[in-house]
Amino acid sequence: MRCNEFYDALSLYFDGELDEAGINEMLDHIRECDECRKAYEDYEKLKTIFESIDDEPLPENGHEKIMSAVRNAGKQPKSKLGKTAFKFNKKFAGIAAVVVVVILVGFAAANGFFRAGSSAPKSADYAVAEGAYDYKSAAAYDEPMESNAMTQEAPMAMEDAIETEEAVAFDEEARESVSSLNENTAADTAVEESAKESSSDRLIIRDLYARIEVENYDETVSKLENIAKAYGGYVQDSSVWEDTYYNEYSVKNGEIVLRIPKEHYETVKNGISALGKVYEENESSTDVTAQYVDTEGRLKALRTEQDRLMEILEKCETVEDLITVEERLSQVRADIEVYQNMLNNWDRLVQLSTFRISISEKVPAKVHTKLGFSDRMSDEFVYGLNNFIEGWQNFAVWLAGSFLAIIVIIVIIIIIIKIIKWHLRKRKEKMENMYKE
Amino acid sequence: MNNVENGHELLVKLAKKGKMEAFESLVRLNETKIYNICLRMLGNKDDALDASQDTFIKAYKNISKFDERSKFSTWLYRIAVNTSLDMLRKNKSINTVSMDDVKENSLGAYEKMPSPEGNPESITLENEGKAEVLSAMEKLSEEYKTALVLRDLQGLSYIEISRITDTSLGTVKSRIARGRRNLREILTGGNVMSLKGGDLN
Repeated sequence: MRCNEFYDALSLYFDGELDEAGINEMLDHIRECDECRKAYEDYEKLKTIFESIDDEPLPENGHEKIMSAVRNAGKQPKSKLGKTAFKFNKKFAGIAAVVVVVILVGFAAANGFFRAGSSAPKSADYAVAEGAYDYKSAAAYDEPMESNAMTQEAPMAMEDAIETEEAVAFDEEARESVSSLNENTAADTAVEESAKESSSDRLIIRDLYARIEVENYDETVSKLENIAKAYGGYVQDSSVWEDTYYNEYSVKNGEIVLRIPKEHYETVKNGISALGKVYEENESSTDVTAQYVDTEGRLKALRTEQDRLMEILEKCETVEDLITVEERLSQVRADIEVYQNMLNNWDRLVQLSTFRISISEKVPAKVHTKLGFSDRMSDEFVYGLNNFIEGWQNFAVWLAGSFLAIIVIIVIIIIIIKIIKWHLRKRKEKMENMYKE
Repeated sequence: MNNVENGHELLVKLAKKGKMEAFESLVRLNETKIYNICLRMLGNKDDALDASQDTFIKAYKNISKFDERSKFSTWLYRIAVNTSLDMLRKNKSINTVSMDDVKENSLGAYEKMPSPEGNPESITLENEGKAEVLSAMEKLSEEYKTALVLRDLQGLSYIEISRITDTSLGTVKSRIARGRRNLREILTGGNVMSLKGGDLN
């Protein structure tokens, strides 16, 4: 062991992190090296000194000072965060105000849209368009205002990039202050909330299956797509097929799978049932809290093991040890990945509710009514005739399409036949010659 | 340990809902530790109290971002360390001692160091020793000081330190080892210990 390594070992030794082999090696080195023995003694002294240093008590009124600082910070968000933030605020207070107004207008627009969406879910399309319009107009309005404020409040020449960057920063700041305002009001109702807490903390996966009949398949699907978009979800899957009745009426059937943030579950559910006649509706909710917590625990244990193994790995002396530890480590890592994926998957499933909607288009009333004998006879006759004609037409079309291939095949067949004939003739000639002899 | 953490968990949850009483309990449970970390990092009581205040303000504002799967105290220590480091960087008056200067005469000075064992002087020396060690700690570079404050003064585990400082376990180990080595060199080479020892003799 060299002196440099010795210091590392010594440090670990005093923390009880050195294994036996390391300790022996260290002690061997102390016997040989005077300088390092002194270091060892010094470290012992240092250790006792460190142990004698106790935590000092908080200065008088320390707790009160801390708490009053925290309370002030809670009341006036951002004001305590240092000089730079304050300056910034004052300088661009005008813009901040404008941004807040814009955000409020945005919220109002969003609220209006959500109200429209829930009270009249039938006109989801319209509501979406309206919402989009509101947002657009708000954005359009806000731009010139913002740049005006910019030029008034901050007359210094500024590059466009900086301008927008700062506007964005402000946007965030304003949002934060809005949310901290919300937090304050939340503090007042905290007591009631804490009672509800246990139920809101459950991790529940909510799924809905619905079978609905609608007038127009395509329209319904586009409505559903808009709903998904409007509530921050997406269409995960969709399939469609067509059914034909009496070769005349065709209706579309299909299935569409939506993923919608759980907050909007009820709203979207109502919206779906308003789209058409609901034949079937199944809701299922799975509580995965227990499994989630369990998996989390396992993950935690695995992480601890991983850390420990890493520690051991660094101390490994022989190649065999190294391999054994490395093997276990990779196993642990693989397990960690699996459990982490499970957690992530649950997070996703809990966050986004799944709506599986089976849609069938209404079959025209005509098809449902029973037809008389003569009607059925004529229908069937026309149907058969049509089939016959169609069959020949199809054949003609097929011929037209594949005439080249047919010609090639015919040529090949002719050639083969010629070859065979030629062969037969040759044999015959041979035989005749034999007889002649 | 576990019970304390469990108590923390509930308090953290309530504090997240904006309940000030819960947050105050969290402050009460952790303020001495936080104050002492700041004190050892910064070296004076006024700065330490300021840094503690800032730490709890930051914690209060960002408690919604705290991931409940991790330990609350670790999170808080991390804020305290970072706040202290920021403050240290602002207070440029604090000197750092170049280790190279110290190394040269370290050995010679160390020879004169008296042994503190057994005799009545050793107690005095140990008392003196505390102040010397603490003032020597202040001369360490940021990383070493942080590592030693957390390990030797607060008695935290390597893993916890690696989480607080957001570094690997290997880095923590080497910082602690080098930090102690530097500390010893400051104490011996800077003639601090030997001078006091000489007075006593």
